[in-house]
Amino acid sequence: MNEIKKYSYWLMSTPVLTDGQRLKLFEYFGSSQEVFFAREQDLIESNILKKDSIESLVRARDIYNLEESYISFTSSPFDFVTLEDDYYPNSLKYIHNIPYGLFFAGDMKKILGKKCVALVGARSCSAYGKRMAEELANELAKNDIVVISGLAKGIDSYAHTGSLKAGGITAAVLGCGVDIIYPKENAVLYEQIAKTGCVISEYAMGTSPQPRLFPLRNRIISGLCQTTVVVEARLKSGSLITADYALEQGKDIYVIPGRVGDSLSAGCNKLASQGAGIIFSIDQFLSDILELNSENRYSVITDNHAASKIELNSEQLLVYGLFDLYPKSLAQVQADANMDALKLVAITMELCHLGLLKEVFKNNYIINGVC
Amino acid sequence: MYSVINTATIYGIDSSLVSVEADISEGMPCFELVGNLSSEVKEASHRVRSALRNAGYALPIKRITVNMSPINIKKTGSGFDLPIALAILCAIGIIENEKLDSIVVIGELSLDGKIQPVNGILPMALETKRQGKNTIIVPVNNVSEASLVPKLKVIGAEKLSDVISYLTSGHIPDIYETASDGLNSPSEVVFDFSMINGQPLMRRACEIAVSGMHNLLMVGPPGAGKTMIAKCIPSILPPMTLDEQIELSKIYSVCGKFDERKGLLKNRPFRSPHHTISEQGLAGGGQNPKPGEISLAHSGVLFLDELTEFKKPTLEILRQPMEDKKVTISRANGSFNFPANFVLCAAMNPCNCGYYPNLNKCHCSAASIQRYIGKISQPLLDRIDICVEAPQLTYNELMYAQQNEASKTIRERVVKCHKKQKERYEDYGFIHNSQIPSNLIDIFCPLDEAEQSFMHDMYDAYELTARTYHKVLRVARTIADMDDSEDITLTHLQEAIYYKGLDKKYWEMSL
Repeated sequence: MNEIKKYSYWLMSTPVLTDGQRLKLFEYFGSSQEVFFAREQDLIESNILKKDSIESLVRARDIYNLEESYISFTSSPFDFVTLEDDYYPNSLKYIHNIPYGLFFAGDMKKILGKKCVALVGARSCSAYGKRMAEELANELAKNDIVVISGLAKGIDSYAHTGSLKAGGITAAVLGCGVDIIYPKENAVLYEQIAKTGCVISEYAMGTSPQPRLFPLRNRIISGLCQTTVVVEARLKSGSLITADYALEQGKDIYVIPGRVGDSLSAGCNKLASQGAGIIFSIDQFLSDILELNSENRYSVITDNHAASKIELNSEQLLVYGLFDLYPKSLAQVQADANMDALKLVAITMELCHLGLLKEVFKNNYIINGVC
Repeated sequence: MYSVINTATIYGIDSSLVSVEADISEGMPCFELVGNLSSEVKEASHRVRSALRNAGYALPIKRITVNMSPINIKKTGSGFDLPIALAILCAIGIIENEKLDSIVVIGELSLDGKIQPVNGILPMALETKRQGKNTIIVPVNNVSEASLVPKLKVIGAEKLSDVISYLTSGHIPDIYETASDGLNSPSEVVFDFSMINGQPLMRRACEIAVSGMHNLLMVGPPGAGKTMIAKCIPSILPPMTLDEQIELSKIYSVCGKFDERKGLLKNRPFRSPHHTISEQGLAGGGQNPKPGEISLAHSGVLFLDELTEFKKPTLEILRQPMEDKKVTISRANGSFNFPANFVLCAAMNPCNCGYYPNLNKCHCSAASIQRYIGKISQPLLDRIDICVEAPQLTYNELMYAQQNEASKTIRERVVKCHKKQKERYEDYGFIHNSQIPSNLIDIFCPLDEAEQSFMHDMYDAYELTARTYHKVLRVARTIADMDDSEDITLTHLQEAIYYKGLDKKYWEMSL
């Protein structure tokens, strides 16, 4: 076992090869060991590499210290899986441009054989997107569904945290080496994910985040999952690349719809118009993907909020009704409230106190619970 | 032959009298000026020589020594030419020395003997009066400024020969003598709250800020009317007392910004320095320190538009003056105190493009928003009690003139509220709610059980600190005072929480 791993590690991390070449060499020679010991003549015959890359491959191979490199890697907290291992994720084997191997932190086996859902979306998202991502991830986790995303800021982070809060398993696919935390703000999140699920990357250890790598890793996100959900995306968003991959891979796509004219939801709405599934309630979505029939539908929202039932007086109800999931300032709702500004302030603060409204920005509020 | 003439110099925003002594003796002919002089005073010898000759008097070919005492004060400014010329004339016997004891002379000479106006006449005239002198001779263009000081005989002179003829024959250049109260113009308010349509919460925030003398920060998109509203704030501050008017006028006089024709400054100042201003420009400075913008805003409003664009060191300078209500500048020739008791009103956009959290318009990344907010220092934010969103106006609010409450009505309420605070804090050494020290908060802002439990919840929900908690209570105290209520009720606290200061951490997390 160790023997093979050594060669796999070499094939995965040698910087001379591109991802595509790795896979092709592996497929041509049958195993990483064969690639390592392939004669120059065989490499030329394989017609995969150009002449000068063959030379540099051979040169790099000659000075490469198999034992030492592998041992130093095994002493790190990271691990990897390749097509030569039996626990390489099945779902990835049928996509275009299969990664030869994946580095990971945490435990890859935890996500194998489980239902996986990808949650992707904008980095600068709205309070609405944040809430949707968190709630959706939360409910998925409660149903033992793995949430997979990209550890980016915004929707990705909220998807991970939502799942973690419910004690679920979540996985992050990075666009840099698995030992690099990007963005830095997510260091804590990274640790949590690695502890309960896994952090995955196809790139060699120490690869720095580069713009061209991120779209590519999206194929792994969608590839690992049966379903991809786009939570919030502008028309020219990277999340739509994930959706494209998912389409190409024949996976299901769902979107969280937004208001027409809301630029942050324009990408989602466009996908919906092209036939993506629309999540109009979380339990509907869950029953869709869990293939439940209508009788025993998982009822989430009603369950969740039955406990927080709060009696409001008519004025409070009026004010509460003026807010929604998009941040609104008091000036915006005042015209509809038709009441004294100071009274509006008082009632708004009461609702905040009750936890029904939440200030997401200086004097801008969204609804935070259902009454 | 020896003679002495009184004049005055500016020291900070105050003045002190200086005697100019001239001595003419045998010896090598020369004209020497001594006595801790700045360069513009040293070069007076050239102006005086030419001005005297053009007025028909030649300098004697003798050793002329002019000394200015006291030595320990640095003499700056251009007003020494005239007293030097007179001291020499006196020393050569053209003017009698005895007449000059009760007279203070100030003026700059041009080469043909004309007398030019100088800065800082008001403090000098006040000092003249204080020192018991009864007459001041000033350049003709400064007569009305000097005349603001009651019971002081002001002689305005247009040229050197006017002064000589006055001092020799007692002939007053009559057209230039003016009555003391001649030129006072009625106070006028340009910006008035009746011009502000809509924005009820902004108006309210301004009134609270002024009522308790809290500092105010407005956050909002470009074009929401932040500047306009800020300009209205001076109009709701209580009218200035005479002492305040004189103090402010002195500051302006020293800076050469005193407008002769308008008399004492009756309107509270509104200063809006550009964000490129230097530290010295804001706080005051220079080798011979001059007041900066914060002193020019004394007893009025200092408005910092685009707060995030100001250089950080510049803003940090505000911290001490905001606590002490004055700024102290130390230089080799002494340390100077300039008053700086102002209401700080600041305005900023929420992000680079200005439209956050409207994500349809704002494409700023979270990092860029953080960077933008990060430009303001937390210690400065800590000194701002009230923070309010300046919302974008709707078309209806903008276009249709409404019956808006005028500044005059608001000001009446503010005056009442100030009076109440003054009575309450009489024995404690401060005046306004914003100044309640934290150890006295419990005495002046007591809370009942219900209110306490509310504040407990808020403390946890908003992750308040001891400092921000006290700020909320001070604002609540002001709101209660405006409500004419001795107790702080739940409604007051709720409103105070609404205006609670900008919390950077909270902002960053709430994407």
